[in-house]
Amino acid sequence: MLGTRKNKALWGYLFIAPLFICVFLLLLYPMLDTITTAFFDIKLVNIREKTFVGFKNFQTIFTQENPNFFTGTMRITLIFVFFSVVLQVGFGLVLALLLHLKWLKAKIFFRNVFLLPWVTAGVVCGFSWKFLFNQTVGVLNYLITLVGIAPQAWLSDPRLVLPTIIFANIWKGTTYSLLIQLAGLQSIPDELYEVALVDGASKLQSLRYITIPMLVPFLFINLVTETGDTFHVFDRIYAMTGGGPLHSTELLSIFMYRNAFVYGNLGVGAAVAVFELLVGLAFALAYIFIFRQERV
Amino acid sequence: MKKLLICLLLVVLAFPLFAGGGQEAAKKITMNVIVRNYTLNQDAPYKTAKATMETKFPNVTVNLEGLGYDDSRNKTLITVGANQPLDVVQLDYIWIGEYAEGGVLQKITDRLKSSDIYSDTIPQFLESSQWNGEFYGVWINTDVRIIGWVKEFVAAAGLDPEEAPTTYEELVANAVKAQRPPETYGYFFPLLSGEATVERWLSPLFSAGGKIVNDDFTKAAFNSPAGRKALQAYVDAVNKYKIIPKVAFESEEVNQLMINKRLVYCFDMGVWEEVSSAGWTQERYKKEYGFGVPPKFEGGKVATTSGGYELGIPRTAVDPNMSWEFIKIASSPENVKDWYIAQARFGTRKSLAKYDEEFMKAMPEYAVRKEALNYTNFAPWNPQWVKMLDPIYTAIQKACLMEATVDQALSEAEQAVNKILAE
Repeated sequence: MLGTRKNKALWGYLFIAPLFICVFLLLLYPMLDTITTAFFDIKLVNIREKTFVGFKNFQTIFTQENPNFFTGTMRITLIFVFFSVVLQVGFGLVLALLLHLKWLKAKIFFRNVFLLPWVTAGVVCGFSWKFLFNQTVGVLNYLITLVGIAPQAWLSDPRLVLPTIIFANIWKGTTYSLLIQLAGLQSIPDELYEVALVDGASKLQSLRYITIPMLVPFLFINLVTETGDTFHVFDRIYAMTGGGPLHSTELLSIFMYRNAFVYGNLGVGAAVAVFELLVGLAFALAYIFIFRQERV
Repeated sequence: MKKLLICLLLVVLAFPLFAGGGQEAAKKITMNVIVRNYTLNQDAPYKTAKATMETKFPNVTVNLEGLGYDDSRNKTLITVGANQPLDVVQLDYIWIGEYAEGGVLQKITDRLKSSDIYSDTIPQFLESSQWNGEFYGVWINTDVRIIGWVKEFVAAAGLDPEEAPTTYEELVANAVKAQRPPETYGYFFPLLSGEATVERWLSPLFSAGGKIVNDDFTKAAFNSPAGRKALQAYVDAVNKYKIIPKVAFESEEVNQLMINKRLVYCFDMGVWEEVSSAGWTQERYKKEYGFGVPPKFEGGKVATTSGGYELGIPRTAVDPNMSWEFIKIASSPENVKDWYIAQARFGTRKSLAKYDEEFMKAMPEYAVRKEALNYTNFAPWNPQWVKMLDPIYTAIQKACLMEATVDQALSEAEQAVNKILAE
């Protein structure tokens, strides 16, 4: 009996071994390597030579001026993440509720249309939005001039550029929230709504007391993954602005790229990546804590 | 008999050892060459060089890889850093110092000086292919920046549409007269574009007698009367004369803005490259646009800037002799001229003059660019240049947006640049 159980366990390990190896090689090893690199001075032009520098790379990023790391890069990143996540989850919820309406026709068509932004490559999205927002030939400026508003420099005016990239990011990311929350809505048994209806609950009361509480686990997953993803967004924002003008869209990920590949300081770039990992982790723990409190 | 057979066998086995030289010559060599992606859109210069190389050396196979700007840099550095074979790279000249100091490129001083390329290259270009007295690159192409204008606007302002403004003061006065904001602005300056912003400050800086760094690249030198004059000119152009919009255009928009008649004057004229592919004739182009050597400050000197690419031999080249052969073939005037004609590029070899007639037929601005070559200057090519750009363009932007005075902005940038240079 014991032998059989042992054998079963061995087979089990054997079956998960390929996946474990893949996870280790593709996720854990690069992560561990990045963490190690963060403590070394490694230049891109000479990656064979490395010198242990302790926390110097972290000191370099925290003491950076023009822009200051905390009041510049970090502040911009937090604003970007906050508005992107809140609005993506919000719009995702609204769209999911609409798509879940019983009387809505052509649900599959709408679902597929909403999927388009999600399946489009980030760089393609970035360049498409860059073209749409173009100051001279962009569609957006053409449309606003039709209603008498002067053309705007959406991507080169430091006051407008952050809201502009947040908008583009929401367009791309909302579908993911929609899918998660639609799955959540579909998992709520119809009987609950029927009972509420019998008890005289209004549509709003059903939403407040049945739908939202039942969606909480899905909202949690959505918030955790969306926050993590938004912290790492690079391709579409880099394609649209490259972090400019005047560093006004230099998110942590672009700051990391600039240090690692433009300035060639791989150690500093890795330190930014480690910091980003820690911030993402802190957010995930905060969400866990908040949602646990909610449940208690 | 057995002994004889064994001896014979040993001789046969040992033969390749003694015949090593002959075998070596026939050894198969695969050369990996990284170039910019757009250079592979036509045969010259690299596909033709590959064909010539493979015909001349039948044991050589050349693999060409065309990459974007950032990718070509990253792939070069990572490949060489990982000690993987890489035989020739096309690199932006501003990377020469960084690559030389990082040991990415091999010195080519002896090879260059003993070849015709050395005496055939325009002297100021030779300077920007060396670092610490050693040569690391051979120029393949450059761009000499000139000014352009829309004749229709200049004529409507009562000015001579055939004449280029000779001073910045005249350029500003003309632009004020000819512009019709907000539809058409007097001058193009990508105020918020980073590197492109700095590049367009360099010509007035050099014209006023200034420079970015001292001769040994150890100290910032732009916070000088010339630097302040050049920056003040842009601050005034934005805020006093309003020939440049505060919410600026992006650097890559310049040609489209000129084609759409949204500008009167621009620096770095490149409209022909766009309209020639759309079927425009030279006559039509010359009727609509004027072009000339960039102006100077009153009392200053004419100055323009050049950028461009060089070919270098990475440290990990399998056979540096073959790499050098490839560079010689690829950069030879006979080989590159068709590329220059096809994509309106410019060369750095004196002997290209023999093709002047062909170039003039293909490029309406050729004569002006050739003249401008006499006044050209370069952005620094020290290892820290890319990092130095940041505080410099921040200073230009702050001053033009009136967030700091010219003095304050340049002083801040000077401190930051000196800190970077001291690292």
